[in-house]
Amino acid sequence: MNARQKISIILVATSLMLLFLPGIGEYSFQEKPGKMVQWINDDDSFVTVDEVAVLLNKDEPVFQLIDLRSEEAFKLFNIPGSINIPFQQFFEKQPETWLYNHEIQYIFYGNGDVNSNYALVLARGLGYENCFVMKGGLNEWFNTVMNSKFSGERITPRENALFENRLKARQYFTAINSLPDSLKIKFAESKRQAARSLDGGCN
Amino acid sequence: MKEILKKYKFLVVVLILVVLVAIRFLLTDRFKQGAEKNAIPAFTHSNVMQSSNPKFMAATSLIVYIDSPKQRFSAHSNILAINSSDILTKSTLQAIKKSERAILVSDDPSLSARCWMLMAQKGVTNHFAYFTGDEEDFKYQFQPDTNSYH
Repeated sequence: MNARQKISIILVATSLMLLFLPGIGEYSFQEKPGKMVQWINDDDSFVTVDEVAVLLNKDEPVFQLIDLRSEEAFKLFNIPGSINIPFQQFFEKQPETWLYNHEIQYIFYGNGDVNSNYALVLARGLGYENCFVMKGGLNEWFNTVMNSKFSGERITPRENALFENRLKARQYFTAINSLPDSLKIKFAESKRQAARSLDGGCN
Repeated sequence: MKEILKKYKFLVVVLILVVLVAIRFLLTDRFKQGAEKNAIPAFTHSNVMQSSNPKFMAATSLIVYIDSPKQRFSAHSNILAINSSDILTKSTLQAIKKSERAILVSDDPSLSARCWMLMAQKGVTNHFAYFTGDEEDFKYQFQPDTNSYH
């Protein structure tokens, strides 16, 4: 076998390999289909709006909300602390740059349940298992948290805690979304400082 | 044998590579490469099929009921009822591929969305999700408190 034949064979083999290998820079699912199907109907991949309200009121850096709506809708109002990744730009915004922290929970939300669940499958398929969906999206947030009312004569301690949680989250949501953009960060920071001083920390 | 191996060692290497690539290509327990491309119909909403669409009730469409939805299209002749855990089984995928188009129907938009995306990533291209079309509309109004910063 002469040198020309050897080079030709190597080139053909390399071409064959490249033909079937994933494209460079192309995203592909890492998880096995069987594993993905296992959690498809799993309630553990959902977070309720009340759970989000608790996280918001505690304001601990253990979660990151991801708003999948358009930039314009996000600017009008959003759940405090959210980052905006419009669903259509899921890949454009390079998931590895905003889903990089494996120590925290990423919670997707849109207006409803469709885009957030598409995004959840994409994120989990790419190997980001710490992603969840806020069940019902912003429509459920408004229905449960923003429009919560207590009507009745007696309130149980559990109901009271739930109502207080929703009220605090609603007040925070309304206050921060009523501010001009220039004051939003200062407001959030002052809220954190106030919480720290109440806990006995330093200002 | 040694003589043959020595003489055709390049051919042997190529043969091994081809076999490895073929095995990888023929493995069915994996998703199709190019997640972004597979998801395009979801980004453009071209994967949504409403019951008012004439294609919905066409005889060439396969209605796939996932987890026994309440809403039934009994007039339709071509129906497949499955559990959500069976969406990627060989028989389900084969039935969908045989039909002109498959429409996933479930009571829960979350489940329909998840099933649609998983099938798309498995390489199915002729499937739609049955939605009413207003699932992602915002149904409330936010009233800012303009006194909050005065």
